[in-house]
Amino acid sequence: MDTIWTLIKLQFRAGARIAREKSPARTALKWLIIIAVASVLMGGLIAVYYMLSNQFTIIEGGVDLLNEFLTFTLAAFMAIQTLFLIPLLIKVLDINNDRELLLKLPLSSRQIFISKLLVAYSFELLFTLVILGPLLIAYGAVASMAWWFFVFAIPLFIIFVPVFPFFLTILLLFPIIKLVQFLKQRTVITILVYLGALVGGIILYMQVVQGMVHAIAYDGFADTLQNNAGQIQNISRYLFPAQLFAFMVSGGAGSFFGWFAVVIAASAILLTGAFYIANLKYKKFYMEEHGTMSGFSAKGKYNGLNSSTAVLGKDSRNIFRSSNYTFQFLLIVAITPLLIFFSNRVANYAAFHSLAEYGQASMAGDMGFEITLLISIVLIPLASAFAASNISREGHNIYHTKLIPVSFRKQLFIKAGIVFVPIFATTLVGVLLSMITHRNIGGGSMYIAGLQGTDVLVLLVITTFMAIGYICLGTYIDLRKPLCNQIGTGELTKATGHANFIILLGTIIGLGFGAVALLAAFDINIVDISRQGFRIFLLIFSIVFGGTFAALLFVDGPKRYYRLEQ
Amino acid sequence: MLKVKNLFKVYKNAKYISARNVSFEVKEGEIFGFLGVNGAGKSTTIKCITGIIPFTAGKIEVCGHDIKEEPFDAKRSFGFVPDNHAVYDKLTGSEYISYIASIYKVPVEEYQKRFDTLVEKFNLKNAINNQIMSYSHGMKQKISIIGALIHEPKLWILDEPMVGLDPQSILDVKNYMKEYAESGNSVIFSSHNLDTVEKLCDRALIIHGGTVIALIDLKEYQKKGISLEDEFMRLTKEASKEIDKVRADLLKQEEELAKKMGKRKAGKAMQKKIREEVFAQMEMN
Repeated sequence: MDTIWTLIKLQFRAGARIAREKSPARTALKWLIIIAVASVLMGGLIAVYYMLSNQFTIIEGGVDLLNEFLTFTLAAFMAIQTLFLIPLLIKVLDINNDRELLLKLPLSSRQIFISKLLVAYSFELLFTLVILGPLLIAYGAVASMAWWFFVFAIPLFIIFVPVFPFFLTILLLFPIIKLVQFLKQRTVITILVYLGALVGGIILYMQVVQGMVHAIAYDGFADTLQNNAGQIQNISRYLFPAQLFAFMVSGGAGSFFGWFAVVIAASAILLTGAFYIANLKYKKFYMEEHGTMSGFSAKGKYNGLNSSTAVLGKDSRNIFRSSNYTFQFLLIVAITPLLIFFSNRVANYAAFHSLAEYGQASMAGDMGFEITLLISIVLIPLASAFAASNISREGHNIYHTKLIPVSFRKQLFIKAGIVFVPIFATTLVGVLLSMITHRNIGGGSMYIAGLQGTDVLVLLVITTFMAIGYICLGTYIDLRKPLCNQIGTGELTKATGHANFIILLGTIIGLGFGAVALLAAFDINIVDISRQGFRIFLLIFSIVFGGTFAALLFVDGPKRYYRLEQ
Repeated sequence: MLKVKNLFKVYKNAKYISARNVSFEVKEGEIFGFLGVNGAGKSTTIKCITGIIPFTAGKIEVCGHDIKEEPFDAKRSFGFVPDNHAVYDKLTGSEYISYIASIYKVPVEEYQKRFDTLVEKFNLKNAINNQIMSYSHGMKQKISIIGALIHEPKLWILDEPMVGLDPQSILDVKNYMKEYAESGNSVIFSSHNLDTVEKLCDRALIIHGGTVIALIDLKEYQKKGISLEDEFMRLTKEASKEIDKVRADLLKQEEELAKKMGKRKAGKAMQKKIREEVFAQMEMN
């Protein structure tokens, strides 16, 4: 038991990089930022949840759907938790790169395995505490639950809700590990599967949003719920075991504690089963099948390319032959046009409905520019953040970049260009899509203009320069302090923290941009500048932003590159 | 072929000088050994020569090209094999060689012949089109060697080249070094293996604590029957006494300064002092 406990502590320490900053002040600042960002996000989530749960409360002459709402909440949470748990467990068990190290030590595979599973379960508990805890408190407030719900039910939910996703994940894990191992050699297929699932999810999500807009526009959300109460109750009956948890709190304290005995017994069986099943398979996997590194074959043809094309080819292969890098990089690139397209469609739809119903278009109808700008400006730093590992990604090969007779400036330009081109292309597609989607509506005094050619041009200039700014800044900060001794492609972006900085900066700037654009669109002029004036301001800001960081990278960057002692 | 004159290297935040007044020349057709214990400054000097790290002071010329003034011409003149076997492991062996050949502008009509010869010589024919990530330690070293030679440089620089190679491969590399030098090129390599250096090299330089303590003509040694191993042990032992004394003095000075101005400021003051010492020595040169 002591050995397992030591292993658990070791894994937590290995994972808790953030705790090992140079100074206590820096550690405190980092935690402060994390807590602040998490609090804002959680605050937003709870507010949305609170408003949503209010829609399910009983209305006059209607049906109380709060219990069903709790069922849906728990079912959604369990589904999300399972989705998060699968990669987490794969990482903890398989990809953590510590298997060979641990196997050298006098430890049994069972001890290693149990410690790893307990670490994963601890993460799951933490996730449940942070996400589900506040939501349950909000639910309790809306449903006017008694004291025992807050004192007993919520803590017990937090401990036992993760059991089922954990069991399900263990069952799914080994077929998935086998599949991932099979696909590892076929990076393109892996990426397509990942992206396909993601894009499918977004399309589904946006269709739901549009459906909700439709429901709200025509009937009001609460009315729509009441009209479909029978169907909702019917669906919730099949959402086991979420339905069981919701049912437990619907019958008062006595019923709750009675049912909980059943849940505890069932959880004990599930957890024992999970450990037993996984231990059997894991032992074989751990002891017999580890340590095989396979690659593929391809003949490198020599065409006497110029140095720029050769470096471009090498850098592109390095990115696109790593499913991890490609996924990180292409994730946002793939979803940007989709989000722009659907947001404009929803806004256009709302405007059309408003025009037909009330004889005037809603404000959303005239906001194609602002919607497109807001989405692209928030997503661009997420995609550009990949550039913040441009130098660290070289790893131990960084000597190569200094050894070859190709100027650092040219190499930096190629590295920045590889990130920029797909972002530019995806933004262009997104903007053009929004122009096609966000059509002119109505006529005469009730005419709402869609996106015009000048809007598209301004959007493109703003997004292009912002992307240039983030990419150059990301590359520059990575150049100042690259992390070249990292093992494993998945850890790099997390380990340097440079990407997180770009994402944080981009989120702040993006939300600021969006707020300014939307305020201007709603004619809420804090300062006396017209909507056109704001556009010019944003245009100048982006050009200065992009220009400044491009100059910093390409003027100071090569000097710093030369001074790197790696 | 290679001229290193009064080379000084002080790493950022370092407490010691990593290369102190290092000077030597490598002649055409020569195999030159670079000897020293761990941390002696061999890899630092080699990294300075190849332009991988900047140096604090001094002058390095490769085939008549100053590495600072004409870095590209200098870099085109040599091929380098590092000690860490780092190669782009997402590429296949042939893609890697093709990439290096493009960078060094190898003529298309000559490429295939050179490629086939080297791949055959280093016995990588069966694996050359496989991804490098599937290579063993030794195979990575071999692909790195082929990459260093594909543009037929005048100077071949290797840092600990025999580490990780099997006996047959070690023999292949040694034979190729001889062959390469015989055709008028030069080879410089660092090693811990005194026997290899003794048998293979024309001359060898012993570096200790960043300072050159001996430049040995191995042919002369052989004639006089002097053992390189004995000589190496004697020289490094002698040098260690002095270096340990200098380092102990520096440590003492830093501790005294730390008492007065704090650890951080003392560290900075010592770094400044070291740099001043480098420039003072440069003045004397």
